Amino acid sequence: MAKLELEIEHFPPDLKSTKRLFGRADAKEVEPLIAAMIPGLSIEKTEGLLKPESQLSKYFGFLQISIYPLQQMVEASFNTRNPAIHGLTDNNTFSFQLYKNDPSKDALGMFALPGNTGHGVAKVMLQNLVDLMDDLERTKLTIKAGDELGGYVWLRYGGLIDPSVQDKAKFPDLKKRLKEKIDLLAPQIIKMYPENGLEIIDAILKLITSEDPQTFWAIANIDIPVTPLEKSSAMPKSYTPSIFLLNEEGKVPLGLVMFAGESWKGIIDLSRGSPSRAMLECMIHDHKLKIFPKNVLTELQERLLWER
Amino acid sequence: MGEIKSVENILYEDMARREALDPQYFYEAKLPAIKVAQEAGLSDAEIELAFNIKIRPEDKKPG
Repeated sequence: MAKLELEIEHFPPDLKSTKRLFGRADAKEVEPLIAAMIPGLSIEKTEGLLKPESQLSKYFGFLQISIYPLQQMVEASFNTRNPAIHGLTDNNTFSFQLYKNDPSKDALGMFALPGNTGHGVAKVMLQNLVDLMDDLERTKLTIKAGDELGGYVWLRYGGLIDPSVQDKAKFPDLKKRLKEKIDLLAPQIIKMYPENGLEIIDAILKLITSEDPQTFWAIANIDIPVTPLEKSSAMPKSYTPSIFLLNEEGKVPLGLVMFAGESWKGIIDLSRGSPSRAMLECMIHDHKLKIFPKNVLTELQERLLWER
Repeated sequence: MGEIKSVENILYEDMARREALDPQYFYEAKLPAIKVAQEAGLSDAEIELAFNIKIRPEDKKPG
């Protein structure tokens, strides 16, 4: 049976040398994922291990676990090494960091995926992360939302803004900017709903002024179709309407315009029964492919107990 | 050869495509937001209009 090599990297506390340990992961469990990422790829079946120069590793790279003793942190990542597709030699598709003594710092780091998208790979990764966090009894995942779409997307995927950890220089402006955006969008809303447009605007303003961070979920979910606002000095720097998917009338949901380009810090609360978790699971519910073999999980658990 | 996209971009495109075909597709994921909006004082009619969904009878605001 084909095997995918699992690379376990260990950086000793003095950082003067690097030890590399090697484990084994069964490729059977990750092959469907690879096939989804790279349609048409013929996976070369060989006996024993697939070496780095083999076809499978060439395209997919390693499932890697790195240990950072100084930071008391374990990082697990899938690295893609498929230069034939995206021109990079070491492009992380997905990684996360688990901190031994401070689970509140656990962080998701999903960097970039190659161009063959639309196969649910990102959602597979997220589902597996949820499963893994459950197995490791971790309940909070730190989110740093930003760039063009993160401020919107993570609110739709259960991210909860934590006002206490925001960038003091930027966050106070968020609510102010949301109100300004509503002012700019008001003519469109009133034109679309001449009878009760003003009531709708009042309702949205009521959500914006609420002190409950969960109300950001409600604002992000507003699906009133609007023409995207132009990029201007009044909008955050990362606001990039050119990447929006427009409907046939050239419009997008209001919630997207409100949060696209915005940056915030927060968490996904993975406690069972939490609304944050419910939102995330509903968004990824149809992606149950397991990609972390049991021995990888065991390895992670052992590493988290490191020097305890 | 494909372009590099951020994960947020990929998640957004998936979400936008599905919701364009069926606004109810992610209804369950919207439920916490529906509850928040109800608690903030919005009527079910306002929420249905704003979220472009039909609230299921069991999720309607009591009373």
